[in-house]
Amino acid sequence: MLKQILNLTLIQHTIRTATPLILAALGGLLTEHAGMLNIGMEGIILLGSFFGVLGSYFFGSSLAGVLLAGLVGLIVGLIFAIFVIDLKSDEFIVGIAINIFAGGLTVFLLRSIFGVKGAFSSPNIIPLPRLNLPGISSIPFLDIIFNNHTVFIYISWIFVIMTYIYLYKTPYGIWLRAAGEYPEALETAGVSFRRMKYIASIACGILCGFAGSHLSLGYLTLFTENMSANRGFIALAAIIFGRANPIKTFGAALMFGFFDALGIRLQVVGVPSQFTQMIPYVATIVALFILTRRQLTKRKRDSEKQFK
Amino acid sequence: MVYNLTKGKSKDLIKGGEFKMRKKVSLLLVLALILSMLVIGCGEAEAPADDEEDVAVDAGEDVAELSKVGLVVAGGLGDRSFYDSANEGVEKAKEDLGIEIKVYECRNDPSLYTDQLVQASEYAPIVAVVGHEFYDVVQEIAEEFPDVYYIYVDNEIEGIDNLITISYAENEGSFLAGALAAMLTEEDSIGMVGGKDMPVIRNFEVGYRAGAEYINPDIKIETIFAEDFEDPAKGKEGATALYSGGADIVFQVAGKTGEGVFEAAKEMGKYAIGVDTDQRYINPDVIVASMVKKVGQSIYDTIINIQNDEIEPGKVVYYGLEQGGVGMGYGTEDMKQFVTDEMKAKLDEIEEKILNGEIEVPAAK
Repeated sequence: MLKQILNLTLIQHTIRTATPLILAALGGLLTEHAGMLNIGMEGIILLGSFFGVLGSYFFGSSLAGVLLAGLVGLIVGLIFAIFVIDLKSDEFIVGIAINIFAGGLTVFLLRSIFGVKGAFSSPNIIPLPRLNLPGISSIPFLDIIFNNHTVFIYISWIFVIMTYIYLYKTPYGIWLRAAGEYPEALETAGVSFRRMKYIASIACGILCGFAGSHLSLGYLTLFTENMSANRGFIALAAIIFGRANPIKTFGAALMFGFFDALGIRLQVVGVPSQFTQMIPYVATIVALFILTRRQLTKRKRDSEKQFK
Repeated sequence: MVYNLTKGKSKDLIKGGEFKMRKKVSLLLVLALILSMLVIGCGEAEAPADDEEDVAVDAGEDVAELSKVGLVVAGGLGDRSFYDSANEGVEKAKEDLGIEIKVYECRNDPSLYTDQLVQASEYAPIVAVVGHEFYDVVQEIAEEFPDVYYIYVDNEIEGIDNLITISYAENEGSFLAGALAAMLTEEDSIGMVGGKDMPVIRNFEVGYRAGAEYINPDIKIETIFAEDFEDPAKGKEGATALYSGGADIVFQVAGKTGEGVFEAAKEMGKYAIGVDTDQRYINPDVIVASMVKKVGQSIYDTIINIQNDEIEPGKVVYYGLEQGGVGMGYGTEDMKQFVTDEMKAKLDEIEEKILNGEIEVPAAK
């Protein structure tokens, strides 16, 4: 029974489920650092899914789909930035507006371009290619876990490292964080905080667009209405959970993916679905409790040290 | 000058207690306004109810008045199964009977259920309601609009005269699907992906299980509930887990989530069975057959029965194998056929046995 639950497909499943979350969360944590959390991620993922399929279908290439999805993400990110940074709108309102807009627009375009309602699948949608890393294909364990994934899965891992280096090892990263934490200081240093915020917002849009195209071209090869299925909000949770640190956020996204995979496998051995459904949420609460507790005791210890 | 004057005046007002007086008067005015609004509001609410009655009285006498149908669905059209089947039914009624139709989608937003149902009730004298989510709402609304006929599929509610519920024997149809899966499988292991763990889906499940075990008592059957009807990615993961666990045929009963099951079958070179409508056309290479639940047909029949005044008020209408409400669909001739004539003959034999009571199919609702 344990073998049915804890096998290598569990890890595969975890990686697959986590990837859209990772891509979106990486974008979102940039805006979080820049001091304007974008809750419109959900909508941008949905738009990315749609335009990914659109590009792949009409240009006959998955790359075109990904680029189109990224472009749409860029535009939406730019719109978000204009509203939040220059027009000083409330970022939550703009985010919600993006989500509603995306839901409506994709339904409308699905009907007017493809003439269908609800779902669109076609053999003409070219999926993203799968990678086989020749070096590890001879090692059975690594072969199953790391091979035969769509390219975006590997790219997302590279993005995690790149984002980490960008944020913590380059001056640009420091500027970006300063734009969120202390924009006046950044201005004094002669760097425009406005520009840094724009960069964060646009990068977030592009990454969420990629997350969407991965969902509709890598994970699946179809588009259905609302296929983002709250992944934008789970990504948001991953950001908050990982305290906007790329590595920790990556871990949080993997955790969500893992519990999702675990839930499905527990059902196979007879655990009721109502129970497996709550596993991710219970796990989140428990993990959050442990994390916060550890922080609190650490803070307490630090303050005690000060008084000695 | 003017500025000074007003300034002086307002100061005087505050000093002289007259301001307090004015405040009281304005309070009274506001109260009166609110009261009058309430009165008007009540009056308005009653007025259309009267109109409804007038319409309905006419409707009882004249079939032509029953020439509008509203279709209310809990999700959205385009699921290529359940809701679309219902839509086909009213579309067919529009073509054959020349009635007007209007579709109200709630897009899974519970706050819209009541509103859309009321909208539909005000639009048409016949309202078809599709989705288990309406169980409570439809009973309330049916009592509020006693002269509108409600056709509510997938549930059994008795005792409300203008509410006709249609119940399908999913278990009987799924028995055939299970038997077919058991005949087709090479691994003696099959699976099912359900949308949500609820009575209707359970009814599919018990039938499917019983059917498979009828053919092969030792067969392994695993079921996963995605707990979502609209997330194909979840359906794909569920089916992938079943396929990698050894199953080679998965029956999907999960709406749009089921699209992901077909994707998984394609990717892993396994097979799937569709549901509600004949879904083979979606991918004829992996979808071997479909368990068809004729929601549309039953709505169509009921519309005709209402028009001809041939319904039994407050009763449940049953659609099983006997009434042709459920059955198997094998796609069109030009598609690659997986189900051989022998298998079809065997399924016909099983159907015969179910009809004459030799096989008793367990039920779960």
